[in-house]
Amino acid sequence: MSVVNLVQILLAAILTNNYILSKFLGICPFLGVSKKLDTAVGMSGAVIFVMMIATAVTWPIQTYLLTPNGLDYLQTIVFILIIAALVQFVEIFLKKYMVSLYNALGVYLPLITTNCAVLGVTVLNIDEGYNFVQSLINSLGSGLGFMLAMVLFAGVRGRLETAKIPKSMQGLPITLVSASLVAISFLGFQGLVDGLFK
Amino acid sequence: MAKQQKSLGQIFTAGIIKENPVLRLVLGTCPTLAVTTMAMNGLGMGAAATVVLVGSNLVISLLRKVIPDKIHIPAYITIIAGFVTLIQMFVKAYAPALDASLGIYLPLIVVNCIILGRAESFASKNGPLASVLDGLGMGIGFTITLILMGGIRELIGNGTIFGLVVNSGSVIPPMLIFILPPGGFFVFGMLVALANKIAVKKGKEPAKLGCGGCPMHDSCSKAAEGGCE
Amino acid sequence: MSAKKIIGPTAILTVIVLVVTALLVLVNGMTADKIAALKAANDEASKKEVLADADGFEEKTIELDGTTYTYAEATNGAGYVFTTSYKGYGGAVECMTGITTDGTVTGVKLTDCNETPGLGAKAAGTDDFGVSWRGQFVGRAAGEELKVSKDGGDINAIAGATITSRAVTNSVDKALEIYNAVTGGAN
Repeated sequence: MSVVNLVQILLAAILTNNYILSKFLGICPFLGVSKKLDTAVGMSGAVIFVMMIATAVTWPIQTYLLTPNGLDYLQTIVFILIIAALVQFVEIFLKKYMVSLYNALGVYLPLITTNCAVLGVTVLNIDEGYNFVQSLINSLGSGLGFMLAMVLFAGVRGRLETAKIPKSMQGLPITLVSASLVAISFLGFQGLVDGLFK
Repeated sequence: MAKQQKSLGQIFTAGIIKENPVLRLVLGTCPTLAVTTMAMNGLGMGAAATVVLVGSNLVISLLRKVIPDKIHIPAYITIIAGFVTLIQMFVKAYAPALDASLGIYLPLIVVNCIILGRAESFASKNGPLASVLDGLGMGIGFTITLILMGGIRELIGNGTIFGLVVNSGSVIPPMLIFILPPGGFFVFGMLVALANKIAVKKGKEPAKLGCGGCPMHDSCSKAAEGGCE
Repeated sequence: MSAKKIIGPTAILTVIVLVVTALLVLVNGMTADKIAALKAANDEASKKEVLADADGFEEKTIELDGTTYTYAEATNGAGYVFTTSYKGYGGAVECMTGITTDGTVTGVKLTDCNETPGLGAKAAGTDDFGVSWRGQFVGRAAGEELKVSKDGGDINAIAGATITSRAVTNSVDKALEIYNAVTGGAN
């Protein structure tokens, strides 16, 4: 687990295995919250925050509690309940002690409980066999990749507002087709991580 | 007790076409895009999700008067997660090939908006039989859409359907991009466009990714303002 | 918030969690053995695919360059099966390589392949293409260093899937390296 390895994990999560555009995790907020730049950034910030805290809690629980006791099958239920509880606590904590942050992020927090990207990253950390530091880096990268996709897409949708769109394509369909074009552009990153560290 | 607005038959069929969870309610988009690289995967995911949906709708409906509002979200999540884990265990034991092809999306059924969404908007307010039928209808609608999308992507992208070779590629080579992520978004967009066209013709609203679809809308403060946008 | 208002809902939630967990523990008891047995049978079948003459396997370990590798030795002396992996396009590509006691590769099977469908994934395919592509490794011996043609070797990479091809080649190369360590470089 060298620094190079960590940078590889980070870049892979942001670019080549982007959670939204290649793994299809977090689509609901991607399609729903990406219309305006500030909501896109706010939502992404909240996602990064929850992803990292969730990793920090779920990884030790899996490694020191579930696996040694042969309780791997309880992973799904334990992880999702941890995430749901974490989101509640974070919301209460922010509301009381960091009001400005709450005003920026807090309102998206309930949405994040059912965000498949958060549960996805916690499960994938275990599946890929990452250690604690690697898992944290992976979740940071996944969150940053989420933010990158959201922000880029907010820009694209901004342009769509002024374009002339055929009636049946208006709304969701054109949004999805635009997403497919952004996804194509991300395909171009494939091989980047391997190539950079030859 | 609210008046029975729909007959049981109508509740069942609503989920298949009129209120198709993917193309009309815009729920469950993540697995729809992710597993539809092959029609077979779509069928597998749809079947698994339907079992969870029916099971959780039934249990939540039976317990609807017992679960206090304050803790209803974690309670629903626990019940849904329970069913998902059961399905995971059965699939691993009796259909390991499905486990391999669905991968991480099998446990992710627990955050599938369709299931939590129906629990919030239907099972918590209706009797068990109606809830089971609603779950079944939504599940079948979901499965049909997944097979449709999977079939289109597999056919154009790989020249096969359910593994059977249709286009061997000698005349028109398969268009690989359809089974890659961009293809998923594209086919989904086209299907929604088609569904919208049909809906508008029948005087209905086009599908919108609004608050109605989000399972959290009862507890979200933004819902009052008209949504996250 | 009065104590009563918190205790009531919390108690109900706890009961639900406990009931669900109990149910899962029960079902796990019923299916865990079957799942483990299935996995073991699958594993042995895969090993026999790459080393057809073997009748059963014994697990052994060896330390090489500071890492401990677990490999399988055929109980009838037919050879060895090594499971190695190398980073591919979409994650690590895991390969099972069968090598006979005189150091020749008898088969290669991809056991974990998340590569691009239609491109890198063809390396794992059970169709004619996949079989013949992996066939390039059969007959190669322990003394050779395997590389794809782009890196100066003679393994033909799959068109448009150099990274995946390289991952498989490096995996098999690693297997040969471990083989050498196991046999003490006798071949």
